[in-house]
Amino acid sequence: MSSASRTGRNKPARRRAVSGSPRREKDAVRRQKKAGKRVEKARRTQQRRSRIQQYQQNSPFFRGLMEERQKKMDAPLLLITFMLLGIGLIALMSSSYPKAYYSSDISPFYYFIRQLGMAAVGLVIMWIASCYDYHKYRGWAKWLYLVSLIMLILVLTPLGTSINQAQRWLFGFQPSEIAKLAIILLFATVASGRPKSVHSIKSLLMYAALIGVFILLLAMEPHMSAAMILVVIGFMILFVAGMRVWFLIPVGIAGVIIAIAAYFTMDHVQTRLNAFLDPFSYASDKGWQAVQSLIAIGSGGAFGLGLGESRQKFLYLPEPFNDFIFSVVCEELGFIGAALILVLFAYFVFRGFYVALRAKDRFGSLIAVGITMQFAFQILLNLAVVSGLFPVTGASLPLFSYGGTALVMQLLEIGILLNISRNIPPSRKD
Amino acid sequence: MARKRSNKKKMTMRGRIVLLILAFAVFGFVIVGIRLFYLQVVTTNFYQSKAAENQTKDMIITPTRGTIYDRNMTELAVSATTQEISVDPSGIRDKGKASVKQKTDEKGKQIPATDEEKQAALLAYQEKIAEILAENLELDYTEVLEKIQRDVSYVRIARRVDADIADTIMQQIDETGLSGVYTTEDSKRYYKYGNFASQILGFTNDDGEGLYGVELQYNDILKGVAGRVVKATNALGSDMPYDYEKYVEAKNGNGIVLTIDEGVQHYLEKHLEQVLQSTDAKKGVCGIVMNIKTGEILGISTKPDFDLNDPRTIPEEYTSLLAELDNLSGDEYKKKYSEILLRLWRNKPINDTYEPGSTFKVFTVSTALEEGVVTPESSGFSCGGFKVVKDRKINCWKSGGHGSQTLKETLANSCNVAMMDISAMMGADMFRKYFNAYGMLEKTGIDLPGEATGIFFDEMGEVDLATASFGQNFQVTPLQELCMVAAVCNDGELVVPHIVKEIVDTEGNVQQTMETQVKRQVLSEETSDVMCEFLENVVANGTGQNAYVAGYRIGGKTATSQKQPKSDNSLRIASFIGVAPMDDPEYAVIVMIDEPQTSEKGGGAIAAPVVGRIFEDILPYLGVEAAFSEEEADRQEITVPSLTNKSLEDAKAALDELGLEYRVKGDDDTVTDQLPVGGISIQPDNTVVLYCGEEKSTDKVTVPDVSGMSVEVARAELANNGLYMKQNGIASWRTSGASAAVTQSPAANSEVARGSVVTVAFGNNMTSQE
Repeated sequence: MSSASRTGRNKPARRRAVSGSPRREKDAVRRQKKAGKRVEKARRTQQRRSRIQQYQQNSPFFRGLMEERQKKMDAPLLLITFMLLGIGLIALMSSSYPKAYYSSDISPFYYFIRQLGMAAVGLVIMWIASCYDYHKYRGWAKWLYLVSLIMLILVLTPLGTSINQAQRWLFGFQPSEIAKLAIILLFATVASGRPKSVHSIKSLLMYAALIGVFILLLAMEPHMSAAMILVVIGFMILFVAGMRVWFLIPVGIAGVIIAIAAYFTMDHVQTRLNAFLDPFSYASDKGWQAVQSLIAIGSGGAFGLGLGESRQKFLYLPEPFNDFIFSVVCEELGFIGAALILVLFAYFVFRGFYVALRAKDRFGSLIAVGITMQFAFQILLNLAVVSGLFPVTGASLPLFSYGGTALVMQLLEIGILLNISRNIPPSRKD
Repeated sequence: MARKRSNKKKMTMRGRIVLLILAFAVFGFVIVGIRLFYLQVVTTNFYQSKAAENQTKDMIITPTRGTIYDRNMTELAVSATTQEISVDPSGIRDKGKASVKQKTDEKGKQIPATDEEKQAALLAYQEKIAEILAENLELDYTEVLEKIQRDVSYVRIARRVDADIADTIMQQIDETGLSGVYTTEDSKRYYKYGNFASQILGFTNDDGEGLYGVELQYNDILKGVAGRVVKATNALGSDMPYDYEKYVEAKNGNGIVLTIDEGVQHYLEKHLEQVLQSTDAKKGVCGIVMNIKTGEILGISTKPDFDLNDPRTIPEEYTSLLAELDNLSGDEYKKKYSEILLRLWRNKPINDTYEPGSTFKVFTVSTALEEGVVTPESSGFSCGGFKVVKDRKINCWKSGGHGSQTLKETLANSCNVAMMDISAMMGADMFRKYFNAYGMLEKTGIDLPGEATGIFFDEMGEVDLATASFGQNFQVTPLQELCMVAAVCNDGELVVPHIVKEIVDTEGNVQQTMETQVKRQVLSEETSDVMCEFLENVVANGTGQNAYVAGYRIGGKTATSQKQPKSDNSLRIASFIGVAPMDDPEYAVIVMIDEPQTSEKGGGAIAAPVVGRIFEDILPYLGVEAAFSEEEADRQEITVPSLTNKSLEDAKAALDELGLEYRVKGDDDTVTDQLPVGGISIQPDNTVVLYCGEEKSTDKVTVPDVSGMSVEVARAELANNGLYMKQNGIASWRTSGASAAVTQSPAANSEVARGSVVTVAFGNNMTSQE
């Protein structure tokens, strides 16, 4: 810009020295016209700006955003989010490379670039969410529940897409992601609005029914890991809200009985458990995924093979940039790198709960618990699966695994968490 | 109160969140951290090896087996790369079922195929593959189809398939869109001459491991070292984009250069084959040609033998062997068949022992001379036809006895009684000492598998000593016997016989040379010289006269040994050991005929001529110059010059100068034609015909049968038919009216051009056992 304006100034000067007066007049006219246009343009911009300002002043949404923006949010949580997202994207670039490389029609960085785009969208949404007063979700919660209920039903109709015999996708989007947020918001709304509800068995059954419908629909997809996450989130919200722990005892016993019954009556449960206990004996079929993951992690050693040097990602690991992305990270960065990432994740979870601990009110606290719990459970479930501590279930690693809509949802939830942190009373802020 | 409660509630909530922090932000990650530490630090070695196993493809590269050469680097056994064809029946099953035609209903939705349709598609798929394989490999279609339908993931269809056939198959499979057929590298051994030195070269099994002969003995050198390719691969088995490849090159097998001379071996086998036919020896014949100075085996053979390229089949020409299989079937047939094969595969002169018989008299006389028990001039060995040892009467082969003989004559006569006398003079201890010294109780050390050793008396009584003196009642291998005679003629030095001369790498560079190994000095040079003279005398004047070769000084000793059981008096082994040239002995030959079915079973009658014919062929081949004495002048061939178009005077002068007789037909002054044509060699007793104007008849003539005729009669008979005779066999001065033609070449009744030379070998009909 600056160099262009400089030449613009110099040219007429030279002409003045060379040519005669008639030309000078013409130039003067032209200059005047130009100046006029410039003024006009500036005026229009000014107008537009004031119109936007006016709109913003009149719109409660934007006024709200502007107001919330003034409050300070939890900087460590934001920072750790950026760090995990950055590391996650690098891990995804490395782990998705082989599959893209072997697919002839796409560039080796195809998956990375798509995820990068979704991360950018997600960050914008996170920013907006962080400026959107979470108290307004009180009114939204039941509608969101209704919407996700409809979507969970729709996904079972031919509108849904089936991949690997599981019908989980609706127009490239997993309704279960929304269902999680819906449960969090709804439970937090109810449990904070009517604190006594968590003490009566009757209302607890109501909670159970709300989740039960979702679980039933998820079971039909099937998508059991999502169902499990819903149960855990819901339970933890109620737990923090004050539910008596002994309520859980009969539920726990029932669960154990069902599990034992399943083990003895259903063959595939049995083989799956056996494959989990001794994956190398089932290395060619049932234990394949676990074995490949263990080999990836174990062969990384203390210091790893180096960034980008994973070998297991070359079609050995079943989903190297999705569920088993952390195996690739372990192989490439070794124990040192993996432990560092564990620390980051742990700190992230801690920070989430810490926000819940200091939240302005019960509602905020319960939402924060729900969101953090969702992250904590998904992260730990994924890590337990890849490291062979838990049977293989389809659980992705938040902020790392490939999947645009899931990432956007996660960043949206982090945005809500950040907004809760903005609203922490100044006395409790650190 | 209310505030307190709310506070308390707040506290419980805080407490519960802290609990969650402890559980999920601390405990959970610590557990995962410990797990990762265990996997990545404690047990990392296990997973690293698993990873290596997982991510690499290990392929074996089969080395090419080394070539076996004769001493002049003629290739006798070579390996060629071929292909193995195999199929993956379970893979074919999947592909076959998937090949079912997809049908769609009216809405365009696919209808899943029924099981019957899938089965039909699979069968069609399998049949197509079977067809291609059966056609190209010339195999039975139903058998191939059965193999393809097995419930396994690997079935070998054929081995040792030539590369171009394998290529055709793979191309056809590709073109028809089939899969499940694989080729892997394989190699095939070719033996250039089929049944040539069969037992010596030996053969290999399907895995390329030597089973017999040199192939077995030098298997480690021939087979080479397998190579490996370790490649990093992805889960689908294709290569990874980054470099990780370890290539351990296969080391091809080294070549073996034998001491065998293709030419010598060929001559040896030719004559053994002939004598096998003429004597119908029941247990076969065998022979060895050895360089006595170096111990190199130039030729060694046992007949009947087998085709190395098809070692598990009895050759068709051995009708008498195949006759043994008549009237057998099933297991009995198979048993007998493999029994005969094992017999054919045996390397008789090394693996089997026999009672050597009279050739062993060389041992007795040489030992006695060396120890001074007798002197070269000793005489007065009288033979009355038998000797009584203890209470046993042991006969000489000549029932009338040999009368009084000198030591030299005892050998020429092959007198048993004289040998018994000599052995009695030296005693059992000395006998045993030399038996040992000649290496009869140990292996000769030849580099061939399965060598046998002599079987000798533990305690030697008087009778044992007496019979042993002429080579009966104990056993040695023919090779041991030959080595003993070789040592006697080789200045008393016993050398280790060997069959491999050099080991060469694939480029032909010599890696190792087998040196001559002298085991020990058994005799003094003086004794050796005397023995050489004695042995030459055996051929010149004694029982070995049928081994005579004109122009060469041959020595030797005959033997006719009785076989166990002695009750069957008709079982004989006829053998002869010959040595030449006697002025500086270099080559020794043994020929052994086991259980001849001829009326004459004596070594002098049937074995000596064979050795003579072998020497006649190999000595000129090996570059030993013939030196004709005056007595042998009639055997020296003269090359007839081309005289056509010369003046009759000049032609006559030329023939006179050469010492050839001639006859003139016609009246012209110039020679218009001649018989035989120029360049043909004839013996001086033949007459050259010069045509001066008269037409030479150009018709072919039939060779008459001259067998049994005496020299003069045979020559006349051939001349009548317009043929020239080349006299062969026993020395001319030994021929008499009783000497008879034994063999002739070309054979009787064959058509040849007029003026051709027919070689006729004469022998003295040795009516003796010797």
